Amino acid sequence: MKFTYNSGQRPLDGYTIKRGVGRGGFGEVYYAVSDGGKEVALKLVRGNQEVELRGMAQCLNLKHPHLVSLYDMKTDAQGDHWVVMEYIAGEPLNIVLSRHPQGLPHELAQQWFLALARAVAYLHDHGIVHRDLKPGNIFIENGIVKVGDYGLSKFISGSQRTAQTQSVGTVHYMAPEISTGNYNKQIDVYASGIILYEMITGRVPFDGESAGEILMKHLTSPPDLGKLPAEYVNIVGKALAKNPAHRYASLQEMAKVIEAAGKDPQPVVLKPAEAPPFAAHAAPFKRPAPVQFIPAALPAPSVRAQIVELCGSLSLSAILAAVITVLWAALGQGNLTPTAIGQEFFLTVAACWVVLIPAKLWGSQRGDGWSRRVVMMVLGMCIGLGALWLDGWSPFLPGSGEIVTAAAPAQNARIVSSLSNALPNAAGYLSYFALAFFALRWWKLAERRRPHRFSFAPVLAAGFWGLALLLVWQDPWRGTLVLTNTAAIVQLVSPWEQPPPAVARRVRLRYA
Amino acid sequence: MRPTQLTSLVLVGLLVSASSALAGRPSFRPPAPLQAGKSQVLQSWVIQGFGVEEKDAKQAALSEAKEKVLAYLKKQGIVLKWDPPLSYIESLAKRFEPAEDKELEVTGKVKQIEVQVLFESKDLRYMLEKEGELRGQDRMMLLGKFLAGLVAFLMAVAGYFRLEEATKGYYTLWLRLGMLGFIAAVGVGIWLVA
Repeated sequence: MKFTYNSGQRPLDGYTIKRGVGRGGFGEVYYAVSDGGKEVALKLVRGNQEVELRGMAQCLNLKHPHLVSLYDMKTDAQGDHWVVMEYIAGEPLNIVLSRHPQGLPHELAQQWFLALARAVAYLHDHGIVHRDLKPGNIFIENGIVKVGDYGLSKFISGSQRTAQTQSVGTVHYMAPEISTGNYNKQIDVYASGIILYEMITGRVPFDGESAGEILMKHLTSPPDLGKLPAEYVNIVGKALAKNPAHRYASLQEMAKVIEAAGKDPQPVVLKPAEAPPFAAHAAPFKRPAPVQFIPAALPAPSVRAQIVELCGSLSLSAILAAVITVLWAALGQGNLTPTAIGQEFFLTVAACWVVLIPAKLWGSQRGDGWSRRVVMMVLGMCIGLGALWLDGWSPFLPGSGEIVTAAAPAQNARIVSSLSNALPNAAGYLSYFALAFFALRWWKLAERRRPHRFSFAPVLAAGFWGLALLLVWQDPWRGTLVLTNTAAIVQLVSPWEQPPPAVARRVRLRYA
Repeated sequence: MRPTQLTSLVLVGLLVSASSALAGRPSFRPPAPLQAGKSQVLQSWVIQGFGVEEKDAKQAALSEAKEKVLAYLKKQGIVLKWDPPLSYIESLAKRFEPAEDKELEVTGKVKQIEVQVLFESKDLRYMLEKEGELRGQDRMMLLGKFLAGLVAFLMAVAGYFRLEEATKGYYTLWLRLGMLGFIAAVGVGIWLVA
């Protein structure tokens, strides 16, 4: 993506550009740092300049824990307009939703939606209609929802409706009445209903191959509410009513209904800091609720962060494997050969990497356990091949286990070697590691949201299987040590986050 | 049952039964200690060695015995990287004739010693084990160098990104130079060790 400004440039006094983070019809957004060290986002406004700048100016003094803060508006030497705002390091909701094609967990969807509702209700209480609510404008940072991109927001005058305003918004989330140019804050209620539908089901209710087709569906087609859980059918149905008068009067009202549906014992009470003069006839103003930490399901880190984590885990696992091997060699009191020590180290590193890499690729997504077991089994076979290779096996030399000689006089006997001598050894190696990696759900040890940072249960399970597989391979200590070391090291080097509290108690086998 | 589950169960079943069948073969188990009379003689030589002193003659005879053994193996298509020490070759010698004085035209008075060397299947097995160990060690050395380079690279990448995030992009150029320098230093170190 090519940006107008590069890292290190200072188009605006007092700020240094670090990198571009986004481009769109609105212009460009940069991550920058002020001279004092504050991280900010700089939005270079292009496109609908008048609309954007007007919207921004109206929102400059708004403060809410779930709204992206706007700090200032400036003009540079070239006459370009900039908006200085809070930098959000987290991901937009549309990226999170793309990782959950079946929808988010319901508790999470509910918590995030309530935060969104609080933020937009605050805007409405201050006479602002967002006009461009969509997952791309909702950000998640450290579990905190932030609504941004007020560029298209519009101040509602004392009258309830505006006349002939410029059509704005993103078509999937556009309320039917927008096409008339005559609309009010109900368009945000409608857009919120679309977002709630998408968060729960993973899809928008109205989709099509062209903007016109989608708009037509907004105008005429009822949403398919059958995909929603029973408690959300009426809520979303009302929010998506074609007639604005039939929708929820406010997002506060919608939020209360959702809380009741989720059986939240603490209903949200929104209190704005001050009452705007025009809203004498509006609902009672409430102070914004305190920032709520949402541990339910933190969005996965960015691809770059995951690569960094993986690199760190792989290198750390090799170092830990070396430390453990040295300790084992020291405990062996010199009875171990350098070959055995070396094999132990390399097999442990290989086993750790075979677990860490697929686990990182699979992430926290729920996948087919059996497919993953098969993948792990194949990778285990590769480790078995590696073990055979480290043992010095060569296809060009006979194995030392059995020398077959052609029938001949004792002198000048001809040595007949065959590959079949090596097969039992190879079969033992391959099958041992293949079965060991099939038997356990190794990827669970590297999950970000595993129950404990470190647990001895998987180490014991690995040891159990290592010994149980003596039926296949009669070299107990080496294989068992590799498996137990792997179980321990993978847990130590994998990132971990406190999992959310369980919704319902259930007992299950985690590792077998 | 889903196809994936069925396929994986079939695969596992085949693996278990095949490996159990192979594990039952006597050849799969670690070789039992050799018993007397179980080894077959593959080749025998009578070798003469000459030297000024008796020990020189013996050394010469053993060196030639070693050459004979390696040539025999090479003829069988077995080329060893392991260089058997003369002390091991001496263990193959079954009979040492006492040294005799001999008068040679070119060198004059020398000691001659005659050695009978028997090369048995147990000796070949031992040599192949040693060869396997040596190959394994060579492979581990190679793998160790590769792993050291790879781990250094991974550490450099992880460290660079983490430091860049921590320093908020102020020292990006220095960090890149540092990362490249670290990787180069590790590469030079591995090359020097090799």
